[in-house]
Amino acid sequence: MEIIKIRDLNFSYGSGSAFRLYGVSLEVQESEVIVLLGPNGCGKTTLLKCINALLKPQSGEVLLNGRNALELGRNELACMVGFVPQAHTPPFPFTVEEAVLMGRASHLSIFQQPSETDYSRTEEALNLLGLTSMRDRPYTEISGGERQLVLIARAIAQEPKALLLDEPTAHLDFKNQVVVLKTVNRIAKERGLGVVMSLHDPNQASLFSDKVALMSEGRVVTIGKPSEVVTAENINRLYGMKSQVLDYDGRRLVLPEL
Amino acid sequence: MPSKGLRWKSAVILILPFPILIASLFIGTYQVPPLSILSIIFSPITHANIPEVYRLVIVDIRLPRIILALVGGLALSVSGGSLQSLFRNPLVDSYVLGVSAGAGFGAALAIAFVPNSPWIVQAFAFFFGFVSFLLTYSVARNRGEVPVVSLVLGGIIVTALFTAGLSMIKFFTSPEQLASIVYWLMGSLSSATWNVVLQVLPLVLLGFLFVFLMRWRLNVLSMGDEEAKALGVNVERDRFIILLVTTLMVSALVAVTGIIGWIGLIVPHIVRMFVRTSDNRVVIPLSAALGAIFLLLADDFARSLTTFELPVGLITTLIGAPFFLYLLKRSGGLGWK
Repeated sequence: MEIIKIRDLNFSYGSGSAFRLYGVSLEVQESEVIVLLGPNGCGKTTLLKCINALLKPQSGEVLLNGRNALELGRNELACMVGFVPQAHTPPFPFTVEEAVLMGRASHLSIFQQPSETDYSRTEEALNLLGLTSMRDRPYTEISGGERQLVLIARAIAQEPKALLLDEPTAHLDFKNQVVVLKTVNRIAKERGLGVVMSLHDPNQASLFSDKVALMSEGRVVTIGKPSEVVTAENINRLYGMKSQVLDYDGRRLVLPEL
Repeated sequence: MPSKGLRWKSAVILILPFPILIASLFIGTYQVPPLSILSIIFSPITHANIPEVYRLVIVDIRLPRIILALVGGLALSVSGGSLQSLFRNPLVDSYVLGVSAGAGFGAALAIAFVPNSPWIVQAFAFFFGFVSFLLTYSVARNRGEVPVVSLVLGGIIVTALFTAGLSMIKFFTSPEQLASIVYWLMGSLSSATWNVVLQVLPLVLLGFLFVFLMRWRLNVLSMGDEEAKALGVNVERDRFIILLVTTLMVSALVAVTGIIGWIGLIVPHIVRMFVRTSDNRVVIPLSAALGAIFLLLADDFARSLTTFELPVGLITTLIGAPFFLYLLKRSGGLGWK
Protein backbone atom coordinates (compact mmCIF):
# COMPACT_ATOMS: atom_id res chain seq x y z
CA MET A 1 0.00 0.00 0.00
CA GLU A 2 1.13 3.58 -0.61
CA ILE A 3 2.52 5.31 2.46
CA ILE A 4 1.18 8.65 1.29
CA LYS A 5 -1.76 8.98 -1.07
CA ILE A 6 -3.04 12.44 -1.99
CA ARG A 7 -6.32 12.70 -3.85
CA ASP A 8 -7.52 15.81 -5.64
CA LEU A 9 -6.26 18.26 -3.00
CA ASN A 10 -7.48 21.84 -3.14
CA PHE A 11 -6.16 24.46 -0.78
CA SER A 12 -6.26 28.21 -0.40
CA TYR A 13 -5.03 30.51 2.40
CA GLY A 14 -8.02 32.72 1.60
CA SER A 15 -8.81 35.16 -1.14
CA GLY A 16 -5.93 37.35 -2.22
CA SER A 17 -3.17 34.94 -1.27
CA ALA A 18 -1.00 33.65 -4.08
CA PHE A 19 -0.31 30.31 -2.42
CA ARG A 20 -2.90 27.80 -3.58
CA LEU A 21 -3.17 24.17 -4.59
CA TYR A 22 -5.48 22.94 -7.33
CA GLY A 23 -6.43 19.27 -7.66
CA VAL A 24 -3.12 17.85 -6.55
CA SER A 25 -2.84 14.06 -6.59
CA LEU A 26 0.29 12.16 -5.64
CA GLU A 27 1.30 8.70 -4.41
CA VAL A 28 4.42 7.81 -2.47
CA GLN A 29 5.58 4.21 -2.04
CA GLU A 30 7.95 2.65 0.47
CA SER A 31 11.63 3.56 -0.13
CA GLU A 32 10.61 6.02 -2.82
CA VAL A 33 12.06 9.53 -3.05
CA ILE A 34 9.85 12.06 -4.78
CA VAL A 35 11.17 15.56 -5.45
CA LEU A 36 8.86 18.54 -5.88
CA LEU A 37 10.37 20.91 -8.41
CA GLY A 38 9.03 24.27 -9.46
CA PRO A 39 9.52 28.02 -9.28
CA ASN A 40 9.13 30.05 -6.06
CA GLY A 41 5.52 30.23 -4.94
CA CYS A 42 4.32 27.21 -6.95
CA GLY A 43 2.99 25.52 -3.81
CA LYS A 44 5.76 23.08 -2.81
CA THR A 45 5.85 24.09 0.85
CA THR A 46 2.05 24.40 0.97
CA LEU A 47 1.75 20.83 -0.30
CA LEU A 48 4.22 19.53 2.30
CA LYS A 49 2.29 21.30 5.07
CA CYS A 50 -1.00 19.82 3.82
CA ILE A 51 0.49 16.31 3.92
CA ASN A 52 1.48 16.93 7.54
CA ALA A 53 -1.94 18.46 8.37
CA LEU A 54 -0.25 21.69 9.40
CA LEU A 55 -2.62 23.19 6.85
CA LYS A 56 -6.18 22.02 6.24
CA PRO A 57 -7.17 21.56 2.60
CA GLN A 58 -10.58 22.86 1.51
CA SER A 59 -11.29 19.63 -0.37
CA GLY A 60 -9.63 16.38 -1.32
CA GLU A 61 -7.77 14.18 1.10
CA VAL A 62 -4.39 13.02 2.32
CA LEU A 63 -4.21 9.35 3.27
CA LEU A 64 -1.32 8.16 5.41
CA ASN A 65 -1.16 4.36 5.37
CA GLY A 66 -4.80 4.49 4.33
CA ARG A 67 -5.93 6.82 7.14
CA ASN A 68 -7.12 10.38 6.62
CA ALA A 69 -4.45 12.77 7.93
CA LEU A 70 -7.04 15.19 9.32
CA GLU A 71 -8.54 12.47 11.51
CA LEU A 72 -5.23 11.63 13.16
CA GLY A 73 -4.10 13.24 16.41
CA ARG A 74 -0.86 15.23 16.38
CA ASN A 75 1.19 12.44 17.91
CA GLU A 76 -0.30 9.75 15.63
CA LEU A 77 0.58 11.99 12.69
CA ALA A 78 4.11 12.40 13.98
CA CYS A 79 4.47 8.63 14.22
CA MET A 80 3.57 8.47 10.50
CA VAL A 81 5.34 11.51 9.07
CA GLY A 82 8.57 13.24 10.05
CA PHE A 83 8.93 16.84 8.95
CA VAL A 84 12.35 18.39 8.33
CA PRO A 85 12.05 22.18 8.22
CA GLN A 86 14.63 24.46 6.63
CA ALA A 87 17.67 24.79 8.86
CA HIS A 88 17.25 27.74 11.19
CA THR A 89 18.85 29.11 14.32
CA PRO A 90 16.86 27.92 17.32
CA PRO A 91 16.30 30.22 20.32
CA PHE A 92 18.01 28.06 22.95
CA PRO A 93 21.47 26.47 22.66
CA PHE A 94 20.36 22.87 23.10
CA THR A 95 23.04 20.28 22.43
CA VAL A 96 22.87 18.16 19.27
CA GLU A 97 21.80 15.18 21.36
CA GLU A 98 19.02 17.11 23.12
CA ALA A 99 17.77 18.38 19.75
CA VAL A 100 17.62 14.87 18.27
CA LEU A 101 15.99 13.55 21.44
CA MET A 102 13.06 15.89 20.78
CA GLY A 103 12.12 13.59 17.91
CA ARG A 104 10.84 11.25 20.62
CA ALA A 105 8.08 13.64 21.75
CA SER A 106 5.38 11.77 19.83
CA HIS A 107 6.25 8.57 21.72
CA LEU A 108 5.94 10.19 25.14
CA SER A 109 2.82 11.34 26.93
CA ILE A 110 2.52 14.91 28.14
CA PHE A 111 4.03 14.33 31.60
CA GLN A 112 6.61 11.70 30.60
CA GLN A 113 10.38 12.23 30.56
CA PRO A 114 12.58 10.49 27.96
CA SER A 115 13.60 6.97 29.02
CA GLU A 116 16.51 4.66 28.16
CA THR A 117 14.62 3.55 25.02
CA ASP A 118 14.36 7.14 23.83
CA TYR A 119 18.06 7.69 24.40
CA SER A 120 18.96 4.55 22.46
CA ARG A 121 16.73 5.57 19.50
CA THR A 122 18.47 8.96 19.62
CA GLU A 123 21.82 7.19 19.64
CA GLU A 124 20.81 5.15 16.56
CA ALA A 125 19.69 8.27 14.70
CA LEU A 126 22.96 10.07 15.58
CA ASN A 127 24.89 7.05 14.31
CA LEU A 128 22.89 6.82 11.10
CA LEU A 129 23.75 10.39 10.23
CA GLY A 130 27.32 10.27 11.48
CA LEU A 131 26.73 12.86 14.21
CA THR A 132 27.88 10.86 17.22
CA SER A 133 31.10 12.85 17.65
CA MET A 134 29.30 16.19 17.91
CA ARG A 135 26.53 15.10 20.26
CA ASP A 136 27.52 17.51 23.04
CA ARG A 137 28.09 20.55 20.83
CA PRO A 138 25.51 23.34 21.06
CA TYR A 139 23.14 23.03 18.15
CA THR A 140 23.38 26.81 17.68
CA GLU A 141 27.12 26.67 17.02
CA ILE A 142 27.40 24.06 14.27
CA SER A 143 27.38 24.72 10.52
CA GLY A 144 24.18 24.96 8.49
CA GLY A 145 24.88 21.62 6.82
CA GLU A 146 25.42 19.88 10.14
CA ARG A 147 22.28 21.46 11.50
CA GLN A 148 20.30 20.11 8.56
CA LEU A 149 21.68 16.65 9.34
CA VAL A 150 20.63 17.10 12.98
CA LEU A 151 17.10 17.96 11.88
CA ILE A 152 17.03 14.83 9.71
CA ALA A 153 18.34 12.77 12.64
CA ARG A 154 15.57 14.22 14.80
CA ALA A 155 12.98 13.13 12.22
CA ILE A 156 14.57 9.65 12.13
CA ALA A 157 14.43 9.36 15.93
CA GLN A 158 10.73 10.01 15.52
CA GLU A 159 10.53 6.62 13.69
CA PRO A 160 8.07 7.72 11.00
CA LYS A 161 7.06 5.87 7.83
CA ALA A 162 7.57 8.92 5.65
CA LEU A 163 9.82 11.99 5.62
CA LEU A 164 8.94 15.42 4.33
CA LEU A 165 11.80 17.83 3.66
CA ASP A 166 11.36 21.49 2.82
CA GLU A 167 14.29 22.63 0.67
CA PRO A 168 16.86 20.72 2.69
CA THR A 169 19.74 22.17 0.62
CA ALA A 170 18.83 25.85 0.99
CA HIS A 171 21.76 27.93 2.31
CA LEU A 172 24.17 24.97 2.21
CA ASP A 173 27.51 24.89 0.43
CA PHE A 174 28.04 22.55 -2.52
CA LYS A 175 29.51 19.66 -0.54
CA ASN A 176 26.88 19.83 2.20
CA GLN A 177 24.11 19.84 -0.39
CA VAL A 178 25.45 16.59 -1.81
CA VAL A 179 25.97 15.07 1.65
CA VAL A 180 22.41 15.87 2.71
CA LEU A 181 20.79 14.58 -0.49
CA LYS A 182 22.87 11.38 -0.54
CA THR A 183 22.00 10.79 3.09
CA VAL A 184 18.29 11.26 2.47
CA ASN A 185 18.38 8.72 -0.38
CA ARG A 186 20.41 6.25 1.67
CA ILE A 187 18.10 6.27 4.68
CA ALA A 188 15.03 6.09 2.44
CA LYS A 189 16.34 2.78 1.10
CA GLU A 190 17.73 1.51 4.42
CA ARG A 191 14.60 2.28 6.41
CA GLY A 192 12.00 1.83 3.68
CA LEU A 193 10.85 5.43 4.12
CA GLY A 194 8.69 7.27 1.62
CA VAL A 195 10.26 10.69 1.04
CA VAL A 196 8.80 13.88 -0.38
CA MET A 197 11.17 16.83 -0.62
CA SER A 198 11.12 20.17 -2.36
CA LEU A 199 14.22 21.32 -4.22
CA HIS A 200 15.20 24.29 -6.35
CA ASP A 201 17.86 22.76 -8.56
CA PRO A 202 16.66 20.54 -11.47
CA ASN A 203 20.10 18.88 -11.57
CA GLN A 204 19.81 17.80 -7.94
CA ALA A 205 16.23 16.75 -8.52
CA SER A 206 17.19 14.38 -11.30
CA LEU A 207 20.30 13.07 -9.53
CA PHE A 208 18.70 12.37 -6.17
CA SER A 209 15.17 11.14 -6.78
CA ASP A 210 13.13 8.20 -7.98
CA LYS A 211 10.44 10.48 -9.30
CA VAL A 212 10.17 14.18 -9.99
CA ALA A 213 6.90 16.09 -9.70
CA LEU A 214 6.93 19.36 -11.63
CA MET A 215 4.76 21.98 -9.97
CA SER A 216 3.49 25.23 -11.39
CA GLU A 217 0.97 27.68 -9.96
CA GLY A 218 -0.45 25.24 -7.44
CA ARG A 219 -0.71 22.27 -9.80
CA VAL A 220 1.34 19.14 -10.30
CA VAL A 221 1.96 19.43 -14.02
CA THR A 222 3.89 16.24 -14.66
CA ILE A 223 5.22 13.42 -12.55
CA GLY A 224 7.56 10.60 -13.52
CA LYS A 225 11.11 9.28 -13.60
CA PRO A 226 13.74 12.03 -13.84
CA SER A 227 14.82 10.78 -17.27
CA GLU A 228 11.26 11.20 -18.56
CA VAL A 229 10.32 14.40 -16.81
CA VAL A 230 13.48 16.50 -16.69
CA THR A 231 13.51 17.46 -20.37
CA ALA A 232 14.50 20.74 -21.96
CA GLU A 233 10.91 21.37 -23.02
CA ASN A 234 9.49 20.79 -19.52
CA ILE A 235 12.13 22.80 -17.70
CA ASN A 236 11.90 25.72 -20.10
CA ARG A 237 8.13 25.84 -19.79
CA LEU A 238 8.22 25.44 -15.99
CA TYR A 239 10.66 28.29 -15.33
CA GLY A 240 9.96 30.37 -18.44
CA MET A 241 13.58 30.39 -19.54
CA LYS A 242 15.89 28.78 -22.08
CA SER A 243 18.11 25.87 -21.18
CA GLN A 244 19.55 22.71 -22.65
CA VAL A 245 19.36 19.24 -21.16
CA LEU A 246 22.39 17.05 -21.78
CA ASP A 247 22.72 13.34 -21.31
CA TYR A 248 25.87 12.38 -19.47
CA ASP A 249 26.31 8.70 -18.61
CA GLY A 250 22.56 8.33 -18.27
CA ARG A 251 22.39 11.37 -15.95
CA ARG A 252 20.44 14.46 -16.91
CA LEU A 253 22.29 17.74 -16.83
CA VAL A 254 20.37 20.97 -17.12
CA LEU A 255 22.43 23.78 -18.57
CA PRO A 256 20.93 27.26 -18.67
CA GLU A 257 21.52 29.20 -21.87
CA LEU A 258 23.83 32.14 -21.27
CA MET B 1 22.70 12.84 30.39
CA PRO B 2 23.97 15.20 33.09
CA SER B 3 27.72 15.41 33.60
CA LYS B 4 29.47 15.19 36.96
CA GLY B 5 30.05 18.94 37.19
CA LEU B 6 26.42 19.65 36.48
CA ARG B 7 25.26 17.27 39.22
CA TRP B 8 27.55 18.91 41.73
CA LYS B 9 26.35 22.43 40.84
CA SER B 10 22.71 21.31 40.92
CA ALA B 11 23.11 19.72 44.32
CA VAL B 12 24.53 22.95 45.76
CA ILE B 13 21.70 25.12 44.42
CA LEU B 14 19.02 22.66 45.53
CA ILE B 15 20.37 22.43 49.09
CA LEU B 16 21.19 26.13 49.57
CA PRO B 17 17.64 27.33 50.44
CA PHE B 18 17.72 25.36 53.71
CA PRO B 19 20.75 27.00 55.38
CA ILE B 20 19.53 30.40 54.15
CA LEU B 21 16.12 29.70 55.68
CA ILE B 22 17.75 28.98 59.05
CA ALA B 23 20.02 32.03 58.78
CA SER B 24 17.05 34.26 57.92
CA LEU B 25 15.38 33.35 61.23
CA PHE B 26 18.14 35.37 62.94
CA ILE B 27 17.34 38.55 60.98
CA GLY B 28 14.83 41.12 62.17
CA THR B 29 14.31 44.37 64.07
CA TYR B 30 13.04 42.73 67.26
CA GLN B 31 16.01 41.53 69.31
CA VAL B 32 15.81 37.79 69.96
CA PRO B 33 18.98 36.25 71.48
CA PRO B 34 20.58 33.84 68.97
CA LEU B 35 20.68 31.10 71.59
CA SER B 36 16.91 31.35 72.06
CA ILE B 37 16.45 31.07 68.29
CA LEU B 38 18.61 27.95 68.26
CA SER B 39 16.64 26.41 71.09
CA ILE B 40 13.38 27.21 69.27
CA ILE B 41 14.72 25.46 66.15
CA PHE B 42 15.59 22.39 68.20
CA SER B 43 12.57 22.62 70.53
CA PRO B 44 10.56 19.90 68.71
CA ILE B 45 13.28 17.50 69.94
CA THR B 46 14.40 19.14 73.20
CA HIS B 47 11.06 20.62 74.37
CA ALA B 48 13.07 23.48 75.86
CA ASN B 49 11.31 26.26 77.71
CA ILE B 50 11.40 29.51 75.71
CA PRO B 51 9.78 32.89 76.45
CA GLU B 52 6.46 33.13 74.61
CA VAL B 53 7.39 36.47 72.93
CA TYR B 54 10.44 34.90 71.31
CA ARG B 55 8.43 31.96 70.09
CA LEU B 56 5.80 34.31 68.67
CA VAL B 57 8.38 36.42 66.79
CA ILE B 58 10.24 33.45 65.36
CA VAL B 59 7.46 30.94 64.67
CA ASP B 60 4.47 33.16 63.89
CA ILE B 61 6.11 36.25 62.36
CA ARG B 62 9.50 35.41 60.86
CA LEU B 63 8.92 31.82 59.75
CA PRO B 64 5.71 32.38 57.71
CA ARG B 65 7.35 35.37 56.06
CA ILE B 66 10.43 33.30 55.19
CA ILE B 67 8.23 30.52 53.79
CA LEU B 68 6.24 33.05 51.75
CA ALA B 69 9.50 34.45 50.34
CA LEU B 70 10.69 30.96 49.36
CA VAL B 71 7.34 30.01 47.82
CA GLY B 72 7.01 33.37 46.06
CA GLY B 73 10.52 33.29 44.60
CA LEU B 74 9.84 29.77 43.35
CA ALA B 75 6.54 30.80 41.75
CA LEU B 76 7.99 33.85 39.99
CA SER B 77 11.10 32.18 38.61
CA VAL B 78 9.44 28.90 37.59
CA SER B 79 6.71 30.77 35.73
CA GLY B 80 9.29 33.10 34.17
CA GLY B 81 11.49 30.22 33.05
CA SER B 82 8.65 28.24 31.52
CA LEU B 83 7.13 31.26 29.77
CA GLN B 84 10.53 32.15 28.30
CA SER B 85 10.62 28.69 26.71
CA LEU B 86 7.03 28.96 25.56
CA PHE B 87 7.51 32.42 24.06
CA ARG B 88 11.06 31.71 22.83
CA ASN B 89 11.95 35.10 24.20
CA PRO B 90 14.30 36.21 26.99
CA LEU B 91 12.30 39.29 27.95
CA VAL B 92 9.25 37.44 29.11
CA ASP B 93 7.73 36.66 32.47
CA SER B 94 4.15 36.18 33.60
CA TYR B 95 3.67 39.94 33.77
CA VAL B 96 3.81 40.09 29.96
CA LEU B 97 0.41 38.42 29.85
CA GLY B 98 -1.08 41.35 31.72
CA VAL B 99 -1.16 39.62 35.13
CA SER B 100 0.54 42.43 37.05
CA ALA B 101 -1.53 45.19 35.46
CA GLY B 102 -4.75 43.24 36.13
CA ALA B 103 -3.78 42.46 39.71
CA GLY B 104 -2.75 46.08 40.31
CA PHE B 105 -6.08 47.30 38.98
CA GLY B 106 -8.00 44.80 41.12
CA ALA B 107 -6.11 45.73 44.27
CA ALA B 108 -6.57 49.46 43.64
CA LEU B 109 -10.28 48.95 43.01
CA ALA B 110 -10.66 47.18 46.36
CA ILE B 111 -8.49 49.67 48.26
CA ALA B 112 -10.47 52.61 46.84
CA PHE B 113 -13.99 51.24 47.20
CA VAL B 114 -13.92 48.57 49.92
CA PRO B 115 -11.84 50.21 52.67
CA ASN B 116 -10.09 48.30 55.47
CA SER B 117 -10.50 44.81 54.08
CA PRO B 118 -7.19 43.15 53.20
CA TRP B 119 -9.03 39.96 52.30
CA ILE B 120 -11.08 41.71 49.60
CA VAL B 121 -7.94 43.36 48.22
CA GLN B 122 -6.32 39.95 47.83
CA ALA B 123 -9.41 38.44 46.23
CA PHE B 124 -9.76 41.32 43.76
CA ALA B 125 -6.06 41.25 42.88
CA PHE B 126 -6.17 37.51 42.26
CA PHE B 127 -9.38 37.72 40.26
CA PHE B 128 -8.29 40.57 37.99
CA GLY B 129 -4.78 39.14 37.57
CA PHE B 130 -6.29 35.93 36.31
CA VAL B 131 -8.99 37.66 34.25
CA SER B 132 -6.38 39.73 32.45
CA PHE B 133 -4.59 36.53 31.42
CA LEU B 134 -7.89 35.06 30.13
CA LEU B 135 -8.52 38.30 28.23
CA THR B 136 -5.05 38.22 26.71
CA TYR B 137 -5.54 34.60 25.72
CA SER B 138 -8.92 35.18 24.10
CA VAL B 139 -7.71 38.32 22.30
CA ALA B 140 -4.85 36.25 20.88
CA ARG B 141 -7.04 33.30 19.91
CA ASN B 142 -7.99 33.15 16.27
CA ARG B 143 -9.57 30.15 14.52
CA GLY B 144 -8.51 27.76 17.25
CA GLU B 145 -4.89 28.88 17.14
CA VAL B 146 -3.04 31.07 19.62
CA PRO B 147 0.21 32.27 18.06
CA VAL B 148 2.92 33.57 20.39
CA VAL B 149 3.09 36.94 18.63
CA SER B 150 -0.63 37.46 19.20
CA LEU B 151 -0.21 36.58 22.87
CA VAL B 152 2.47 39.22 23.31
CA LEU B 153 0.38 41.82 21.49
CA GLY B 154 -2.73 40.79 23.43
CA GLY B 155 -0.72 41.19 26.66
CA ILE B 156 0.34 44.70 25.69
CA ILE B 157 -3.26 45.70 24.92
CA VAL B 158 -4.68 44.23 28.13
CA THR B 159 -1.86 45.79 30.19
CA ALA B 160 -2.56 49.18 28.63
CA LEU B 161 -6.27 48.91 29.43
CA PHE B 162 -5.80 47.92 33.07
CA THR B 163 -3.03 50.48 33.55
CA ALA B 164 -5.40 53.18 32.32
CA GLY B 165 -8.07 51.87 34.70
CA LEU B 166 -5.54 51.95 37.53
CA SER B 167 -4.58 55.55 36.72
CA MET B 168 -8.25 56.47 36.72
CA ILE B 169 -8.71 55.05 40.23
CA LYS B 170 -5.52 56.76 41.46
CA PHE B 171 -6.78 60.04 40.03
CA PHE B 172 -10.14 59.94 41.79
CA THR B 173 -9.20 58.34 45.08
CA SER B 174 -8.28 60.07 48.36
CA PRO B 175 -4.61 60.75 49.24
CA GLU B 176 -4.54 58.08 52.00
CA GLN B 177 -5.94 55.44 49.69
CA LEU B 178 -3.60 56.58 46.94
CA ALA B 179 -0.71 55.97 49.34
CA SER B 180 -1.92 52.41 50.07
CA ILE B 181 -2.29 51.72 46.35
CA VAL B 182 1.23 52.96 45.62
CA TYR B 183 2.64 50.91 48.50
CA TRP B 184 0.77 47.83 47.33
CA LEU B 185 2.13 48.25 43.80
CA MET B 186 5.71 48.33 45.10
CA GLY B 187 5.42 44.79 46.42
CA SER B 188 6.04 43.62 49.97
CA LEU B 189 5.94 40.41 51.98
CA SER B 190 4.78 42.21 55.14
CA SER B 191 1.31 40.65 54.94
CA ALA B 192 2.77 37.21 55.62
CA THR B 193 0.98 35.09 58.23
CA TRP B 194 0.44 31.36 58.35
CA ASN B 195 -3.04 31.92 56.87
CA VAL B 196 -1.58 33.82 53.93
CA VAL B 197 1.03 31.10 53.39
CA LEU B 198 -1.63 28.42 53.39
CA GLN B 199 -3.64 30.44 50.91
CA VAL B 200 -0.76 30.80 48.42
CA LEU B 201 1.00 27.48 48.90
CA PRO B 202 -1.53 25.05 47.30
CA LEU B 203 -1.80 26.97 44.01
CA VAL B 204 1.95 27.47 43.77
CA LEU B 205 2.72 23.83 44.51
CA LEU B 206 0.05 22.63 42.07
CA GLY B 207 1.42 24.89 39.35
CA PHE B 208 4.98 23.82 40.08
CA LEU B 209 3.95 20.17 39.90
CA PHE B 210 2.52 20.64 36.40
CA VAL B 211 5.51 22.62 35.14
CA PHE B 212 7.90 20.12 36.71
CA LEU B 213 6.16 17.19 35.03
CA MET B 214 6.16 19.04 31.71
CA ARG B 215 9.78 20.21 31.99
CA TRP B 216 11.02 18.15 29.03
CA ARG B 217 8.00 19.01 26.95
CA LEU B 218 8.91 22.68 27.46
CA ASN B 219 12.08 21.96 25.48
CA VAL B 220 9.99 20.75 22.55
CA LEU B 221 7.56 23.68 22.84
CA SER B 222 10.51 26.10 22.70
CA MET B 223 11.21 24.98 19.13
CA GLY B 224 8.19 26.96 17.95
CA ASP B 225 4.58 26.21 17.07
CA GLU B 226 5.02 24.51 13.74
CA GLU B 227 8.01 22.39 14.66
CA ALA B 228 6.50 21.26 17.93
CA LYS B 229 3.35 20.25 16.07
CA ALA B 230 5.37 18.33 13.49
CA LEU B 231 7.12 16.59 16.39
CA GLY B 232 3.76 15.32 17.58
CA VAL B 233 2.92 17.79 20.34
CA ASN B 234 -0.60 19.07 20.87
CA VAL B 235 0.75 22.61 21.05
CA GLU B 236 -2.47 24.48 21.83
CA ARG B 237 -3.38 22.16 24.71
CA ASP B 238 0.08 21.95 26.25
CA ARG B 239 0.66 25.68 25.97
CA PHE B 240 -2.68 26.44 27.57
CA ILE B 241 -1.86 24.19 30.53
CA ILE B 242 1.47 25.98 31.11
CA LEU B 243 -0.10 29.43 30.72
CA LEU B 244 -2.95 28.52 33.04
CA VAL B 245 -0.90 27.05 35.88
CA THR B 246 1.83 29.71 35.77
CA THR B 247 -0.77 32.49 35.81
CA LEU B 248 -2.54 30.86 38.76
CA MET B 249 0.76 30.61 40.66
CA VAL B 250 1.70 34.21 40.06
CA SER B 251 -1.80 35.62 40.60
CA ALA B 252 -2.02 33.80 43.94
CA LEU B 253 1.30 35.31 45.00
CA VAL B 254 0.79 38.82 43.63
CA ALA B 255 -2.60 38.96 45.36
CA VAL B 256 -0.89 38.90 48.77
CA THR B 257 2.43 40.58 48.03
CA GLY B 258 1.76 43.12 45.31
CA ILE B 259 4.03 43.34 42.32
CA ILE B 260 7.51 41.92 42.76
CA GLY B 261 9.39 42.32 39.53
CA TRP B 262 12.51 40.99 37.80
CA ILE B 263 12.86 37.66 39.60
CA GLY B 264 11.07 35.79 36.82
CA LEU B 265 13.31 37.46 34.28
CA ILE B 266 16.77 37.10 35.73
CA VAL B 267 16.74 33.87 37.77
CA PRO B 268 16.26 31.45 34.83
CA HIS B 269 19.01 33.32 32.95
CA ILE B 270 21.45 32.99 35.81
CA VAL B 271 20.65 29.28 35.96
CA ARG B 272 21.17 28.79 32.21
CA MET B 273 24.51 30.59 32.37
CA PHE B 274 25.65 28.82 35.52
CA VAL B 275 24.90 25.27 34.39
CA ARG B 276 25.52 25.99 30.70
CA THR B 277 22.45 24.20 29.46
CA SER B 278 18.99 25.25 28.32
CA ASP B 279 17.51 21.83 29.06
CA ASN B 280 14.43 22.62 31.13
CA ARG B 281 14.78 19.30 32.95
CA VAL B 282 17.67 21.07 34.70
CA VAL B 283 16.63 24.72 34.37
CA ILE B 284 13.17 24.41 35.93
CA PRO B 285 14.11 22.71 39.22
CA LEU B 286 17.19 24.91 39.65
CA SER B 287 15.22 28.09 38.88
CA ALA B 288 12.76 27.03 41.58
CA ALA B 289 15.55 26.78 44.16
CA LEU B 290 17.47 29.87 43.05
CA GLY B 291 14.29 31.95 42.80
CA ALA B 292 13.40 30.97 46.35
CA ILE B 293 16.90 31.95 47.54
CA PHE B 294 16.78 35.24 45.62
CA LEU B 295 13.48 36.49 47.06
CA LEU B 296 14.37 35.34 50.56
CA LEU B 297 17.70 37.22 50.51
CA ALA B 298 16.03 40.30 49.00
CA ASP B 299 13.42 40.22 51.76
CA ASP B 300 16.12 39.79 54.41
CA PHE B 301 17.63 43.02 53.09
CA ALA B 302 14.21 44.69 52.99
CA ARG B 303 13.69 43.83 56.64
CA SER B 304 17.13 44.75 57.93
CA LEU B 305 18.67 47.43 55.73
CA THR B 306 16.97 50.36 57.47
CA THR B 307 15.08 50.85 60.71
CA PHE B 308 11.80 50.83 58.81
CA GLU B 309 10.87 48.23 56.20
CA LEU B 310 11.61 48.73 52.48
CA PRO B 311 9.23 47.29 49.88
CA VAL B 312 10.94 44.13 48.62
CA GLY B 313 9.74 44.86 45.07
CA LEU B 314 12.05 47.89 45.04
CA ILE B 315 14.99 45.77 46.11
CA THR B 316 14.40 43.06 43.50
CA THR B 317 14.16 45.75 40.83
CA LEU B 318 17.24 47.62 42.09
CA ILE B 319 19.24 44.37 42.01
CA GLY B 320 17.49 42.82 39.02
CA ALA B 321 17.61 45.56 36.43
CA PRO B 322 21.36 46.31 36.63
CA PHE B 323 22.13 42.61 36.88
CA PHE B 324 20.09 41.91 33.77
CA LEU B 325 22.02 44.65 31.99
CA TYR B 326 25.28 43.00 33.10
CA LEU B 327 24.09 39.61 31.81
CA LEU B 328 23.08 41.18 28.53
CA LYS B 329 26.46 42.83 27.99
CA ARG B 330 28.50 39.88 29.18
CA SER B 331 26.80 37.28 27.04
CA GLY B 332 26.37 39.48 23.98
CA GLY B 333 22.60 39.26 23.82
CA LEU B 334 22.07 36.22 26.07
CA GLY B 335 22.67 33.87 23.15
CA TRP B 336 19.43 35.06 21.54
CA LYS B 337 19.80 36.45 18.08
